[in-house]
Amino acid sequence: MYLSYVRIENRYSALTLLCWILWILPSCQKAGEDELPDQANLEFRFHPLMQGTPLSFSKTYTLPNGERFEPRVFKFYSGQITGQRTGGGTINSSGDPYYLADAAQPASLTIKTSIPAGSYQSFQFLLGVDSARNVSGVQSGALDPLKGMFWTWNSGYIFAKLEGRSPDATTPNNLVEYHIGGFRVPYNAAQTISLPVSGTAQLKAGQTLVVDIDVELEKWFTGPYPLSIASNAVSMTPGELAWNISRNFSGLFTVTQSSVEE
Amino acid sequence: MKSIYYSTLILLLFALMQWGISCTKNDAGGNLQSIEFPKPAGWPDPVYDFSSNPLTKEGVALGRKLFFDGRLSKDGNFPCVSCHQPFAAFATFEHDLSHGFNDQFTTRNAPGLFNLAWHSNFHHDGGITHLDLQPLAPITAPNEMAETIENVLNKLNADADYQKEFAKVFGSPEITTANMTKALSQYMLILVSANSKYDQVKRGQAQFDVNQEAGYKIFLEKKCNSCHVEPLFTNLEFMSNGLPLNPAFNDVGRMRITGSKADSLKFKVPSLRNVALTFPYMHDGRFWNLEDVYQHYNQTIPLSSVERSLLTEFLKTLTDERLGGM
Repeated sequence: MYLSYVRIENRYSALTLLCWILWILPSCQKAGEDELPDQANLEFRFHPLMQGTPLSFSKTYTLPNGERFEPRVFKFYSGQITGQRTGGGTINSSGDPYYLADAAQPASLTIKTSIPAGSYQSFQFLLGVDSARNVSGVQSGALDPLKGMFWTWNSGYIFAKLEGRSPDATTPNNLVEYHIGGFRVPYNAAQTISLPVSGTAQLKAGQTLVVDIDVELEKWFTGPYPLSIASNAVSMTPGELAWNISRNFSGLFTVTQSSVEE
Repeated sequence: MKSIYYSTLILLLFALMQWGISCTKNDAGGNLQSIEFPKPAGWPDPVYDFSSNPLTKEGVALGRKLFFDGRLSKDGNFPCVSCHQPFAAFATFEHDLSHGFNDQFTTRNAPGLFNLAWHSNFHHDGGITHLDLQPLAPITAPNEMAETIENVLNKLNADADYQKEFAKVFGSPEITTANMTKALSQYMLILVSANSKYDQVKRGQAQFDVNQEAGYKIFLEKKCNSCHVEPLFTNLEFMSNGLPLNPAFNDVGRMRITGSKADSLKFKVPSLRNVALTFPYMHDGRFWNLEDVYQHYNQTIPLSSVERSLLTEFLKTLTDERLGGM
């Protein structure tokens, strides 16, 4: 019907027609496939540690300040991954989902996303959840409130959870519970974590850039805000204490290795 | 060469139209009957984003079924409707504090549920930032429905009827946190209270009697409407009306959410709509009747006993009989 309006006068216009059809039709395919030739993968592997050895949930550790701590739960959200190309330019994968890392579930400690091929000098991720997703209804996937990382009475995500026991805690049953979150200014506890990877080889299409990251849990208690279990064994609400503890978070993460794999 | 230009242009248009048709996802729902949100004439625009949860007759019915279903609670005894009773404008009738699982009291008075599409936060302290998130609080509170979200979803997913209904409304039989709460929102959103005598008078369909008219004048003269703004009869803000801290609960209100001392003892201004049905009053239900409330305001807004009676006559015209049947 539409074609009847097209006056095909010579073979050039017929050729143009064919070109348009060939060009337009593939655009109905799933988005993203067009860019495949340039795409490579980025993989973060988090390694929770305590005092240089893999975190164990059945062990009582002595923290740098002399207090004792037996960890039982360690979880955190990550998302909003960005990267800096060597020689300038940034990439972001802000459309990506969030990831919930749980020290008790090894598979959750590796997160994978796709990035353009190229050479990178650093990456960042948000430890936490951006404020928009805290206020725009019920999210799904890793952010589904049924994951237990959501405050129902004061809408908002728990960005990171560290629980355990300590004989130094004055709480009932010596419980230590840090539920760190809060998106409201001035106590937004979401922290951007930087991961330098300069010197890593050029990442070609289809390859994977693997970044191994140590997560040294004793540093939860040290850094800009020295945290004592005896004085603060519990932080269960957004606010100043949660924000102060979150200021230690960037110290937890150290890149130990970054390499390109086929 | 001109013809190449035109044919290209027309073909581009044609291709775009084709693309528009073939790329539009067909809704799996089929025969869903969409409902237009019943926004009363002259009211402000609602703040709920209906594009993220389009109202349908089936969605509302599903939400209503969930609202009345005890399986949303741990022991089956506490559906949403146990504390939000239709005949009390969806507050708890004659209860200062509602009670939940295992004979426990809650710490606050259950508010009536109506005109929720105009609210951008919920609870007396505004701690909940979206209507869809609201049900998660009572479901998981140990002194209310005392259940986990996971258990609720497991119970609902085990019910073939629910699976069918969710498939129809949301295109997937799997009941998730997101579509369960969206269904509940659909029901709560259509609880629009805009058919009281007051509304009929405003629409020119009825007339106040002398006492009601005099009461309305007092309402305006005494500036009750500086907080209880028409037509919602609330400015939706957090205010302190001078109530002292109740030492039984140490409930500091909005400050519990913001952490700011300036918000201490501030609570969300409640709507006066259906106020004759929602007693006892205040966030903790400490005032049994309107007389107690007038007495509380006696320092700031003194009223004679005649004024009190007339004001009460006006406030009774804010009762919406139709709401209870929804």
